[in-house]
Amino acid sequence: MSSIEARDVSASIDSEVLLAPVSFTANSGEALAVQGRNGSGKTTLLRILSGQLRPTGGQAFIDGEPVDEGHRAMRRTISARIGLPAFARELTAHEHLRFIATTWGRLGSAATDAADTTMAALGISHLRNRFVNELSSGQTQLLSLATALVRPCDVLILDEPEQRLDATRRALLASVVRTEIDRGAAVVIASHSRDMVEAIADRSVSLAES
Amino acid sequence: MNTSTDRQILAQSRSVTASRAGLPTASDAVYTVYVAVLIIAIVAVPVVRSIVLGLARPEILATIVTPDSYRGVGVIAAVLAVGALLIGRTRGPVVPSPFLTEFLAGSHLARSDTLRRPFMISVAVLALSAVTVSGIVVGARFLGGPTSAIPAALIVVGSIAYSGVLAVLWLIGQSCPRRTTIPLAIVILGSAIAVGLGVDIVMLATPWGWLALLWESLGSAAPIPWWPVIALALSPLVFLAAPALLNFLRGPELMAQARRWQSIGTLVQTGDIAGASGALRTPPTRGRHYRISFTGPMPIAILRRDIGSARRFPVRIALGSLALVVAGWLNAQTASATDGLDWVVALVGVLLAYLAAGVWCDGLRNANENVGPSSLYGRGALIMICSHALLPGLACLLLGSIGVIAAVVGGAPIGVLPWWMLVSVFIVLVRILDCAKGPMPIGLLLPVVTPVGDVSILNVIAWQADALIIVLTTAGGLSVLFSTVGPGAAIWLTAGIGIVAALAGRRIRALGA
Repeated sequence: MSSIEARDVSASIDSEVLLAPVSFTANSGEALAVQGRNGSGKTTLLRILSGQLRPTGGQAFIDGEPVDEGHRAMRRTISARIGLPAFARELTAHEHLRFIATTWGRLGSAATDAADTTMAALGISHLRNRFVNELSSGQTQLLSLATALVRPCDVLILDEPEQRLDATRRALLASVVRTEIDRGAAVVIASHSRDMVEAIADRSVSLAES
Repeated sequence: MNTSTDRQILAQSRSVTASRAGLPTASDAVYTVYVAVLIIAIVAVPVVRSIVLGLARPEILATIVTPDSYRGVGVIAAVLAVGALLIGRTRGPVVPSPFLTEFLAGSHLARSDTLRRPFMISVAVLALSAVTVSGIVVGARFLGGPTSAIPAALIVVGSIAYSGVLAVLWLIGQSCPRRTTIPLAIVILGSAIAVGLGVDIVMLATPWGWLALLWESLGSAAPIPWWPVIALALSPLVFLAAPALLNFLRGPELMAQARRWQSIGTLVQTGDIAGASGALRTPPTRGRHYRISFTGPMPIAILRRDIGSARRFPVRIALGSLALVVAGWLNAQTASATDGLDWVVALVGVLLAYLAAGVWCDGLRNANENVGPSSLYGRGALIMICSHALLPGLACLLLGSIGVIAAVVGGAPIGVLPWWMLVSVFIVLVRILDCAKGPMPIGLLLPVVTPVGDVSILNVIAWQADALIIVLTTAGGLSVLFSTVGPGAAIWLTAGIGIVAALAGRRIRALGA
């Protein structure tokens, strides 16, 4: 299992500051909540932590190694869900998850089991044969989260996972994420939901408005 | 994880998508083959045949087979290499769907494995294009007179080999940063100039030079030069770099291209060509601190706004400006072009002018998007649109005139200058007409049953390309007429300006102005 660290990470374009410098560490089996007002740079920070964006200052590390999306091992370590993924309109919800699990080496029945388990955990088993365009916005959000949970990872990064979810689903999601933490994953979430943060996070970091 | 496990994972991943519900049936596949055969037989073969016959005409073939034509071949090949390098960041050879980009290329599997298939498809498309183009040109030479078979075959094979070089350069353009590809492009451009001047060492040392030397051997009685043959035969070795380049592709950049091209595909399918070309325009990254002044009367304020925002796209504006100069020069050359070539020169000139004017039309597009009750702006649509048309109009008039004046200095008649003014006005009006198009009428998608199948696609194509058709037939055709009958053509073009202006006004009103 791995730890993730932000060391004076910042981002700006020309003189426009997108993220003021921030430092923290989330160890294996620990969850950290990133909080802040709109525009404080939460999503930017998560994109940097997941290797989707290069910081203009500082550096993000996984187990002491700089985060680099180009490295296969790094891609295997981090599972990030920032915004909705690129769904395939021709695949059902279950086929999506089975395909993703297969690409991460869960072959044959193992992929099917992973898809079944993840859908059951999030309470969306009944949606297995729906195409993405047949899902409500909340159901789409749950399938989106499932794409991050159906694959193996040591670091889980979620951006406002509570969006569009009702109270029951938020509790279900918190339970699933706690299971990941108990398994030893390091979790970083950005959230505006106090309930979600209290249910999941061991610590939190507040971003200054940039 | 070892390679065989990776391959197993990749194969099983593909089997998941291959076994999905709603796959095309056997009858779907048969229909696709039927349509492909019909298109080849009814469209492709006659088009290729007419191009070959056209090129084989003595006056055109004389241009192709001049003793120095090999230099032109080398320059064209080098410019293609530069284009391949520079276009990679906008549209690389590896653009899988966003879904496969996120979940297959984004997996732990090596990108040299997961992205090999889309790359090989691009390689195949390039090779097919090379065979077609070289086959057409070599075919024209065969028809035009005695030509040796072996050099002709070597040129076709050499073109395929060169297409492999282009594919790898294209991949370099996609995977490497601009700070690497731009200097490389400049070096290739420099070598293109050297090839154009016939510098031997550059001819012998570059793939574009090898292709040029092969072309030279086609027209000479001398033995076939061995070096370009061997060098091009060995050039597929460049594919050894492909796995490393594929692994060097960055996920976010792959995703950006995948999303952009998926949305372009959707927009084209729905007939929204303007939206599709808008998706190709990357958002600005510089010039945020330029202060744009909005003082003065509304047309002047809007002109300032458009000039200020154009400064934020220096490369696009520079290329568009250069293209307008070339377009003006080409238009002025129509009269001096030999019979048969005058049509080509005129059509290419006005097409280039129309496309280049588009880089100055961002404000015009925005004004058209804001026609109607929900407009952001407090002025009438006609005032806004006419004011935003000032900048593309000035750009066409001034920049195109530079090219026209250059042609006049070179011997073209002075009368081409006022003619270009009329062409400029016409082109800007067609731009307004095109911007005010609105969504495609759904009725155009209704099936049109004929003995050869549903031809409703022709309606869609005609609707999508109406502006281009108007520009080519009117401005292009009348430019040829002007070169022969003179002022009489100006009367026709003035009438065309009036008609297009009326049509544009009608479209704007139809949008709810």
